[in-house]
Amino acid sequence: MIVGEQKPFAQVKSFIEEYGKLLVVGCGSCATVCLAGGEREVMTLASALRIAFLREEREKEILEHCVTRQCEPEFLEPLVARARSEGIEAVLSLGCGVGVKLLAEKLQDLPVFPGLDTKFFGATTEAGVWVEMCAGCGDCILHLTGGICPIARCSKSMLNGPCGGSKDGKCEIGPDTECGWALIIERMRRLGTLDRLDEVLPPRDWSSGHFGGPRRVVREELVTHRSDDE
Amino acid sequence: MKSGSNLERVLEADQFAVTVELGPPMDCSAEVVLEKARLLKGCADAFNITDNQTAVVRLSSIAGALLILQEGLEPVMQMTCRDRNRIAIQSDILGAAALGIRNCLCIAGDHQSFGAAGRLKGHPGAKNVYDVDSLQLVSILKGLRDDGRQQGGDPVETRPPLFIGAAWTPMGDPVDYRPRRLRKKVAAGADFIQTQGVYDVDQFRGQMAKAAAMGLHEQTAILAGIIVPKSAVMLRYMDSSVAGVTVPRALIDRMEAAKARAGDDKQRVRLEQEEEGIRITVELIEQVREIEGVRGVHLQAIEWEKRVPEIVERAGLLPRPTVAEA
Amino acid sequence: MVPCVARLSIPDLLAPYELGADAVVVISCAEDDCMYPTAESRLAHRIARVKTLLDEIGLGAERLDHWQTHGSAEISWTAFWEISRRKLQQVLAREKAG
Repeated sequence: MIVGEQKPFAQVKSFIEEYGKLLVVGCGSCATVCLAGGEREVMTLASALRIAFLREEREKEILEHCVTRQCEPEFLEPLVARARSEGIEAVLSLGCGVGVKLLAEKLQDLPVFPGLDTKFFGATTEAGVWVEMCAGCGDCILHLTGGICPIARCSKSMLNGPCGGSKDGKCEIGPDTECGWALIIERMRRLGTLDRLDEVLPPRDWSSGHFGGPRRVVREELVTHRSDDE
Repeated sequence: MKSGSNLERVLEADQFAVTVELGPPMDCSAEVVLEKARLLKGCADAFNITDNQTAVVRLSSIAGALLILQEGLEPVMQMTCRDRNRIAIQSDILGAAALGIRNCLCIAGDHQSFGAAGRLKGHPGAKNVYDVDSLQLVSILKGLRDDGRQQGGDPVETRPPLFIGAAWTPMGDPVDYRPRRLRKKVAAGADFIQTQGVYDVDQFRGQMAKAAAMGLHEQTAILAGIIVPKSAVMLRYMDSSVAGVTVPRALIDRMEAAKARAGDDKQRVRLEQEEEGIRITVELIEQVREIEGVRGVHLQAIEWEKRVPEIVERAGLLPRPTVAEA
Repeated sequence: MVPCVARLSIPDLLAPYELGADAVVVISCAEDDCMYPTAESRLAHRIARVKTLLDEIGLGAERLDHWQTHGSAEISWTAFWEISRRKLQQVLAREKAG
C-alpha cells in the first residue's frame, strides 16, 4: 500500500484558516489501511478542527466525505457534485499525494490541501508499524535478490551489498533500519541460491525510475481513440 | 604495470607496503594540507586523501591529492559513491589522471546522516547519489583503464593509468559473507585492498585464511588497516559503534591500566594513554605483518598525523623502499 | 448512549467538546475487572490519543480525566466528579489569568 502519515494538526489547521466551509475527504484504500486517512480518521480530524475553531470563537462549517479510492476519477464525481451544490470553499484530502492531485484537477477552481504526508510503498510488519519495501524503480530485480529489494531496503541502494556499515543486521544509519542486504543474504542462503550473488551486478539504468522523468504507462489497446466512436 | 604508481611498484617488488591517511581540513586551507604532507613525507609509499569522510564537507580528495603531489608525496585519492553520479565520477577520474594522480580507492561512502554527529551539523538532508555502488565503481575505473571505454560505451583515447583500490571490512556483518564479498571486489578489478581497522588480530587472521583459501591474496594486494588508538574511550567507542571494528577486551584493559597509572593529573592521563596507544599500534603492525596474504598496512592516525613518523620508525618500517620506474 | 465506556470511539470522546464541554470525565471498571480481554487497553489507547489531540488543538490533555473503580462502587463516582470539577476550575482560572 501507499503509506502516509497525518500532517501535524497545527499545519493542517493553518491551511484552512481563511475558508468558511470545508470538506474533509478520506480514502477507503491505502489511507484506511495505514490508519491515516480513512473514515474514522476523517471523523476525528474534522471534529478536532471544529473544536479548535470553536475555541477561537470562529464560525466554520467542516463537513466530511469518504471515497472508495481517491485515485479513480470516476469515484470522485459524487464528491465534485457535492462540493459544488453545497458551496464548499476548500477541500482537505486525507488521501495520498495522488488523491490530492486528482481532487485538485477535478475541483478546478477549489483549493485542495494535503492532510497527509505521503511516505512510501510498504506494508505493515507488526501492529502499528509500516516499513518501506518498494522503490517503484520501474525495472524490478527481485528475482535476483530473493524477493527483497536492495533499492528500497538498502540506504545506499547498493546492488552488490552489503557495505561495511552493516552491523548486527542493522543499517549504519540507525538501529531502527534493518540492513537490506543482511536480509537478502539470509533469504538466499535459505533458498540455497547464495551463489547467484557472486556475480557483480553492473551499473543500473535508472531511467526506468523517476530519474528518467515523470512516468506514464500506456496500454494502447485500451485507449479509446476518437476515431473509434465515429 | 597498470599505473606505474609508487605504491604499485613497491608491491610489485614484493616489498611490505605502507599507506598513511591524511585528512583534509573543513576549509580551503592549502597550508594545512601541505603542513601535514611535510610532516609525513617519507613515512609511507602513498598517502590517502579522504573524500568527505563521514559525509563532512572537506577540501576535496582530488585537490588534496594534487597539493601533496606537488610536495613530492604520492597520493591515493578516494572516491565515494555517495556524492557523485557516474558522469561526475568518470569526469573527476579523468581529471585526476590528467593531474598525475595514479591511485584511487573506491568506496561506497558513509550515509549523509553521518555528517551530523557530535558538534557538527553536516548536511543530513542532502540528497545522496549512489548512482553506482563501490563494486561497480571499481569496474568503471577498470573499463576506463583497460578497455578504453566510458561506462556508457563511448571510447576513451588516452586511458587513465590507475591503480584501483577497494575497501574490505573483514569483520563486518554478516561475517561469513565477507570473504565472498572480497572475491566479488577482486572479480570487479580491485588491484589493492585497504581494510577497516583491525584490533582483533585472531579474528582477522581467520578471515584472511578464508580469503587465502580462495586465492584472493594472490589476485589483489591486501593492506591491513590500523587505526591508532588514543584512549580507552576511543577504543570502547569503536568497539560499540563502528561497524566492522571489534576491540578485544585485553586492549581496552591495557588502556584502562595506562589511565590508572597516570593518577589524577589530567595531562598525564592523556599522555599515558597516548603512549600506550602508540605501543599497541606498533604491536598490531608487527602482528598483522606475519599473516599470510597481508602485503602491507594502511595507517590511520585521525587528526594525529604528527605521531606517524615515530610509529613507522618503531615498527621497523623505515626507510621506505625506492623502486625505480620501469 | 453506549452500553459500556469500552465502546467509546475517538470521535465519541471528542464530541462533547464540540458541543461546548470544557472537560470530559470517563469512569471505567477497575484494572483487570473487565470481562473482555482487550477492552481496557483499547480504551487506554483511545484516551491517550484524545489527550494528544487535545494538546494539539490547544485545549490541553488535562481536560480529559479517566478514573477506574468497581462497578458497584457508585459512591466513588461523585468523589471523582468533584476532583475533576475542581481541577477544571483551576485550569480555567489559570487560562483566564495567563
